[in-house]
Amino acid sequence: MVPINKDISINLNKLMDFILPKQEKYVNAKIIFYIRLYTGVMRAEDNLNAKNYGRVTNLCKVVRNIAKNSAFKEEETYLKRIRDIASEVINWTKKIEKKRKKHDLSDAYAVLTKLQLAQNLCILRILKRSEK
Amino acid sequence: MPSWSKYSVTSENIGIYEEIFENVQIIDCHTHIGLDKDGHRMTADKLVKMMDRDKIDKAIVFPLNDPRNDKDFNVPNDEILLAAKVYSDRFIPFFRLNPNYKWSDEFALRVSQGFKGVKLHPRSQDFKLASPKAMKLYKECQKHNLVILVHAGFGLEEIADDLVKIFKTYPKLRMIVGHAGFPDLDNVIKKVAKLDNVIFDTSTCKIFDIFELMKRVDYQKISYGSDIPYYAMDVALEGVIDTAITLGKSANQIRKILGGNIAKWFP
Repeated sequence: MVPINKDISINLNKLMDFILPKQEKYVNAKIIFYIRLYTGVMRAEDNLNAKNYGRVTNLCKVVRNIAKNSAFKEEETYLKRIRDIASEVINWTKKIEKKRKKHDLSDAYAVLTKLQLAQNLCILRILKRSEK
Repeated sequence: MPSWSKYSVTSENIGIYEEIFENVQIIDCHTHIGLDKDGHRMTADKLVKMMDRDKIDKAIVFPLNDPRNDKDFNVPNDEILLAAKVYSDRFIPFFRLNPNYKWSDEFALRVSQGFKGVKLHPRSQDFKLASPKAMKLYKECQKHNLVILVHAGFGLEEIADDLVKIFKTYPKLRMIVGHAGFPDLDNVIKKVAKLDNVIFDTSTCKIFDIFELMKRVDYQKISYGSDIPYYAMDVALEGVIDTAITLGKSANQIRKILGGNIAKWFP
């Protein structure tokens, strides 16, 4: 493979900065970040519907970690809510698995509602994309 | 104005939040007080604090699926009565019933106490929306001019035809379709949205469903709801407002969705 010339790389970055201003790149990165979170929550919801509680736990842990390690400090209020929802769902699935209790539908629907709340938080943050 | 609203969805809409919150009455048409079998709980005091925080003026309140009393809901209905007496300017009280059990005495008692409507939950109380037992209840509600709020969210599937049957039988019945009937949203919009006396509440709907609802249904048939304590009042409010702005609704139309539409039913 031919190594990329350092000058070309620098010029390419300058060109990118010209085409996509820094602020725009930051906003785009934030949108991608929220889409990533949203996808994780959606997958957790699908697995909850399929009663794959182990997968729900894993996916919520991934969501919680992404939200915890975010570079977007201004988003902390919203990310904390998403982390709290993920923790709540993890605790619920643990309880279900530990007690091997019969699948209580009303409980599951309450958890689904929480996951829907997390999804809506992500979408609303994307809609507020112009926020600095 | 809530703290989140200082940011506009797009630059074109800067200023619309100020216009929306100018002289607006916000009514949350789907809130619970009491205790649920699944462990959720909410007190009247806590609900009012949350309403104050999120600038909600009034709320329609009714019991959760209370483990203490799920046959005639007498105990939780009493809690609603008390809450509505303490916060008479903040709560619009609805009582809850189970159509599978004898409900006529509880119904008569609550009508005499001035309740404004009835909450029904087909999944929790295990009945079909248009079952003969439920139909008898709708008949009484129409007779006493009570508003029905039916759960039409998680746990239900095809509900549009049942709703049509109810409205054909009782054309003067006023109904709030809880959660906008999102499990069967397309059919509900096609078959029910043009009927008189129906309002869709937006509680716990996904933003995409709220978008669909607002795009296809007359804004005068949509009302803001949160489903506290399962959802968050502020996120529900933000979801409704931002979706409406995205669809180009005017500040006046959004104000109607936030409270004006449902306020007409409770002058």
